[in-house]
Amino acid sequence: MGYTKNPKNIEAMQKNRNEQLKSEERVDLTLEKSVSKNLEKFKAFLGESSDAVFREFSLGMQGIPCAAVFIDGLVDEMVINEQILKPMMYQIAILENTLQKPIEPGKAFEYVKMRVLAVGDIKEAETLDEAFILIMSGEVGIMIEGFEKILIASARGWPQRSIEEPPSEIVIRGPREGFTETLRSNTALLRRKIKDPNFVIKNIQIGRRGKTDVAYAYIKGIANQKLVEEVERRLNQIDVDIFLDSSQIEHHVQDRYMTIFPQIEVSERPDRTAASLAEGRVAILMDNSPYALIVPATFYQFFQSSEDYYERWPLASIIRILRWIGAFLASLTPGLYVSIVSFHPGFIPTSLAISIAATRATVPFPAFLEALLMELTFELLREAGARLPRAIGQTIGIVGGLIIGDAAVRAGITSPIMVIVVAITAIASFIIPSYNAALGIRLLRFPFIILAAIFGIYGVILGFIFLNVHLVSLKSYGVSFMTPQAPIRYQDWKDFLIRLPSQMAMRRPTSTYPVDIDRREQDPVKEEHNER
Amino acid sequence: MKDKTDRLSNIQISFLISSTIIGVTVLVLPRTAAELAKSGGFIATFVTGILMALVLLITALLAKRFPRSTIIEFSSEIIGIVPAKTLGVIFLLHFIVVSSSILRIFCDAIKVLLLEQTPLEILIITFLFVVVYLCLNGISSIAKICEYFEPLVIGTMFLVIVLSFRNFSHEELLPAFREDVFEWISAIPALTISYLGFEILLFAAPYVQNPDKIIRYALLGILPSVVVYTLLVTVTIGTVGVEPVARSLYPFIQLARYIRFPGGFGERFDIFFMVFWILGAYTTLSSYIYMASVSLSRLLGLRDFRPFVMLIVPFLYVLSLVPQNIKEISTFSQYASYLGLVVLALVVIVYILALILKKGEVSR
Repeated sequence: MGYTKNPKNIEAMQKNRNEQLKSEERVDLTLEKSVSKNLEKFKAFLGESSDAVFREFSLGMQGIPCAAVFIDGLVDEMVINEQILKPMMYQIAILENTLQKPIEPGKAFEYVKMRVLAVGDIKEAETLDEAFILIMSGEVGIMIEGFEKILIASARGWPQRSIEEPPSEIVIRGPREGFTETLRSNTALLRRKIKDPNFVIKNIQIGRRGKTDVAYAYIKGIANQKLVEEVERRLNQIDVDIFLDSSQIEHHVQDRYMTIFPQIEVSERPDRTAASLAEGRVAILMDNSPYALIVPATFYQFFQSSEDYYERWPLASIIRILRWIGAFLASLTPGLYVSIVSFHPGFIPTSLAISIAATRATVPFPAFLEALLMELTFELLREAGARLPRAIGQTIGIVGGLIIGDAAVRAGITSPIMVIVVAITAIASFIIPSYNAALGIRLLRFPFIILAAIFGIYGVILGFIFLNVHLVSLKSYGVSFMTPQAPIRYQDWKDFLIRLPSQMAMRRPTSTYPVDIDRREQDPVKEEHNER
Repeated sequence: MKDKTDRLSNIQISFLISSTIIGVTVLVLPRTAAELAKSGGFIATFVTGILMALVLLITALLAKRFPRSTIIEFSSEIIGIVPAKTLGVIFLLHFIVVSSSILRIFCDAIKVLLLEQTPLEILIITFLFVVVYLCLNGISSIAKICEYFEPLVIGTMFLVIVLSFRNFSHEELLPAFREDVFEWISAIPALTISYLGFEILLFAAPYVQNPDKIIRYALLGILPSVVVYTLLVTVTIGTVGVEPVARSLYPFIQLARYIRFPGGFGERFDIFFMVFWILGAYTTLSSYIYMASVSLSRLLGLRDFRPFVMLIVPFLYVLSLVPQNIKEISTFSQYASYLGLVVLALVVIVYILALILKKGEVSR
């Protein structure tokens, strides 16, 4: 991330790397029987790090040398003290004393694993690097004298954000929980919604250095096996050292990067993710990121909000159509305005044309420049508002409202109609529920303004055609981006421009080629009804 | 994941055919009809449509017999290599002439109706640019775009027709058959250009998922054009009158200008309809250039048609600039129409020969 191009820094980096390589070469990664030698190996790697803890202690009455290695901050101190160290050092001695039966040193490993450690998740590591990955993810490595393996006990516990309402996808009605940065709690949120044992969550680690846990989840029996294989293939071929957010995974597993449209759906909402899983899609979750990636995605999904499914269907349908209109307005209004004002004033009623001309009489710029200027100003304000601390955000609102809205018109820099056009595009662009899709759609208006300035409405149409050819040529995991509109799939139209009542939409969308097309077939309620 | 989307569904064939047919010529069709068949124009249009549906039926039967290759390839199985190459060259010529003809009519209309100041050359180049972009994406993208635009195009035309009924007067049309029968029969060859475009079937057939039902869906593809054209000619002649239509440059636009929306919003709705007509013209031209480049690549025995798109485009540009005025454009498009008739005749002959020689796959 963000390395400076200072040659000195690069030199330093290379030197660091060489040193590290040397230490890797120096240390043999196999484990030995002696705890002290193993500990030395650990220290060769982690000794310099202040957060690594090496705790040597003796086991039970005989005092078999032992050591625990863990990373401070990633583990729960209580678990280490009460469930690991206390039984091994103290309680086991009492047990031995009462039973009058000391541990045989040759069986100490099994004994500790089976009878001493009161921890749910216990694994064994045979090599050093195997142990490293687990210790780095917050587990405790326990070495016992005389054994060439390490016991790994889970004691994960680190500071984490509690589950909050997702700020990017707000609903009035519907669950208010959102994903957090912890993978486990995210998968748990999904599992709580789908208790089917066919719901599979598989883990892989991505990133040569980051070793980030990435999980992909799907429902066996609904999701197409070929889709799952494709997801696996794309995830496995990623070769980057550190990942910080799931959007970076998105960049590596998407179909095409030369486009402004996201081809993968992103959601912070477990309910939305679960609904997608039930449609035969695959969700990719990443540790450290509150956003789930959902594949395959189609363009119309970016116009759906989870609330569509919680509200009554006629109202949800109307809102959904409004969003489509919003997308058209957000991308086309300024372009159409420019083309009509400067090329085809006959298109609008004469009285309106005259009043536009009258308000524009004092404006010193051509309509095209006026539109570019105002839209640019709006984008500046929006970006400033988005990155500012909330307290200052209000200032931007006042500045925007007064400067753009009133002062600019009074100063004669722009016409009131242009202000209305900017306001329409602004509002319309925020109606699209998906932030990343809305960003692309909103920026489209700049090419449209330029096309309109050169070719009038003909240019706008050419741009529109070009845009649509681009859209139909996109694909997301083998699914055409514009399904169910192009190619047409009438079966999917019941949840497209409008949302029909759930009773009429019992079939899953066909665009993902689900194995099981009907939502009802495995529905026990229906079977009960049939039996009666 | 397996790409089922690269194959064409049957409904996509219907859309491909109908949007390749309906295109630029909508603008001038009523004029041709009124000029040659007078008040019998709508009958002539309808009869031409039925005849064309028959030819389409034969085309579909031919395509069904050879579902694995384009006509350029399978014709050599029937008539031998040299005649097949000649046939291919005639097809290629036909596609190039028709493309450049519609390209010119289109850009001329844009210049006259929307952008008087812009040079014709710029209009041609910009339009070719977006067309080439689609062609390079291949037949599945063309089909998807057709599916997307065609409802808009047909919908707008129906809107024009429905809104025009207010000004419609039957006196211009009835009693029918006022003119000599031969008059409107003689109009048929000139009207065929409006119905040309279903040759795309011979080039799309290899990509069809389920060739068994191809005939039904092919005929479904020509249906909208027959209905829209007949209604359009009827309404235009009925509203504007035979003589004004025959003298009008773009009778469709004239028809649209008569329309007044309730509430008085919008004065010149012809621009609004032009917008959707551009989409129709776009799909037509894209199909034709696709067919031309595929023909050329198959003639040379090559699989990839993409380089040939770029090769053909300069020719189209030059050829479309050959006619000097409206009169010459009209003559040019008539020649294109006659060449189209030759191609249709060839398709029928090839089918008959295939029947006689029992070539191709015969389904139950």
